[in-house]
Amino acid sequence: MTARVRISSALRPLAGGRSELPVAAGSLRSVLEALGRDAPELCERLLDERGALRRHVNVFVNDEDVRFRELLDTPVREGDRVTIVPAIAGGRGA
Amino acid sequence: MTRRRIEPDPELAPAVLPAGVLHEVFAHAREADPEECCGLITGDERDPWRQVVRCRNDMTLRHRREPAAYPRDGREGFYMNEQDYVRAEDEAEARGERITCVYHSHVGCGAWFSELDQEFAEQPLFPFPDAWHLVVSVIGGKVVDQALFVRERAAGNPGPSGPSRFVGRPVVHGRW
Repeated sequence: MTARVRISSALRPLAGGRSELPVAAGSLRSVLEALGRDAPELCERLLDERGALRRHVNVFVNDEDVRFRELLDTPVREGDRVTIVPAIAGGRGA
Repeated sequence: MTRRRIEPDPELAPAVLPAGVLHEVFAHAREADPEECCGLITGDERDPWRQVVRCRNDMTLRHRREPAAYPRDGREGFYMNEQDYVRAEDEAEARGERITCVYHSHVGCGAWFSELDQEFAEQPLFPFPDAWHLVVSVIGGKVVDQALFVRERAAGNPGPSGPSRFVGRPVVHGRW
């Protein structure tokens, strides 16, 4: 029962240069725990000290942003694709 | 950290960008008005200004879904659609190119690098830490100004985590 974590090119140096990692399906939390064992430096930058997703990082399960689902409790099923992408944002502001 | 907006430095020589690239970015900015536009420019060492890739601005979508987390809509900010930018990055990589510039517009104000622009560009996971940032100003439906900002690293600290600051310069049209 595996899913795939896709690493965008900007984050690959933190994952030993790999673009994709196989992980056991489960919840996003369990996927990130597995990722933490394989690529600890990457995982440290994704989660804050309380274990929550950092504000400037977005995670998708297939094409759905987990912020609009169940965050770390979002289910990850066999064959799902988890994509980690830092945010690009800004603008004039108020 | 307290930030202040960064204006282009009039003492610096203007950056000369290809007219075709600027026209494409300006057209995107005018079409997106009254919202901000955003996108990427790809290229390589020989020509860093090869292709303009429009990306969707998801700020209004995020604001509607989660107003507390995203207090501004697309008129006051941009949030680049991640799938658009990942696709642009993959396609650039397949062509042997990279992302050389992130562009966006400001509507109703100047072409400066705002506090919000800096907050995101300085985050440790920002995917293109050495890219230029092209900001265009749209006022009354017209592009009235543009400026280019880049991270300048302190001497002896070339790495991505070393001390740095953004500097900006005016932009003029090239003849190509």
